[in-house]
Amino acid sequence: MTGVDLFSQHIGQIKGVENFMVLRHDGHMLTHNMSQPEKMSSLATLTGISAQSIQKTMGFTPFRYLVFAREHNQSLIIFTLDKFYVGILAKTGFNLAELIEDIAKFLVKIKVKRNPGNSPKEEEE
Amino acid sequence: MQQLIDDLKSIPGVIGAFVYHPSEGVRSNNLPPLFKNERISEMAKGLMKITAAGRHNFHDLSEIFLCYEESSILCRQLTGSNFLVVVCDPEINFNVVNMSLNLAMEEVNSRIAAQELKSTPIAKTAPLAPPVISPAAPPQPVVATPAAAPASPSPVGNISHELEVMAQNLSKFLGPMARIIFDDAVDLWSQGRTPSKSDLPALLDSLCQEIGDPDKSKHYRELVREQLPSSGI
Repeated sequence: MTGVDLFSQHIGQIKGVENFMVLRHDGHMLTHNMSQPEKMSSLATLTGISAQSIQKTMGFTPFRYLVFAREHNQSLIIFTLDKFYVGILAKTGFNLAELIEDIAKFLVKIKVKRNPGNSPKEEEE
Repeated sequence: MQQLIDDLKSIPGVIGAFVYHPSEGVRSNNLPPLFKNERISEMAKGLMKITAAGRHNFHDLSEIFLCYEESSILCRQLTGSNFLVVVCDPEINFNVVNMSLNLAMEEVNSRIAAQELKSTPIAKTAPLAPPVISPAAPPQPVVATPAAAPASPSPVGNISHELEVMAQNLSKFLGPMARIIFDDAVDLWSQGRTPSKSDLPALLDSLCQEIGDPDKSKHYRELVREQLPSSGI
């Protein structure tokens, strides 16, 4: 099983995750189970750039995640993980704070396990 | 508005807040002096871009929340084109801040709607940013109202003065909800036809029904007739 497969398997098991995607900062999709991956990857890429631009303007510390909150629909959460974005469509009505905490913990584990500079693709090798 | 963002600042974990209008810039602000005005405006522009991109995909987007290592930002659209931006600690509980904001924004929305009713003529140009449906702000109709279609000839353009008078007077009876109810009524009234002065009595009847109270409806009707003596109402 490849690194990407393992990642998909684990993230899909986190409570509250309806769909997910992993893409590079340039928008290149690595894996997903989204119904509209092109739209979601464009959104993640463009908004990720804006979030990082705000970071530079304000002198903020690194960007962690961005939430597009919807009251009665799936909210989209975009996490940054080194050179990648991880997009999560949350199950409708699921506690977002709880989900964000669980995903963040999962991503920290991956970050710790990974060698610096390696991508999920590189981990397959 | 200043008082209201000051109230928001009292929520534990909130560093400060500001209200931003895309064409008028920062309207009220209580962020610490460390946050320079130029940078706040730049940040707001970035947030507008993110909101616009989000709305392109999610028409029911209620707000965006950005989290950085040492701070987080919540951006939500108020009534009209005003955006509320709240800067918080990163560890702030998203649900708590949301609930607190919902409560505070009920008041914010009411006040802004009331202010806009007083100061804005009905034929004002449409907002620059697309509207976001906020849980605290009822969705505003965007079709067939003079305010919503400034770029093309409005079907009610020749009676815009009459509509303005009717809308302004309605706010005396329905408060902040008046504009929303008025827009809905105009929308229904103008469907399938090009309204003219001769159609105004039908709109007036419909608005009187919305007021609900016979005495108030009568008073409203009298006020409109007094102010529009030649309208045929």
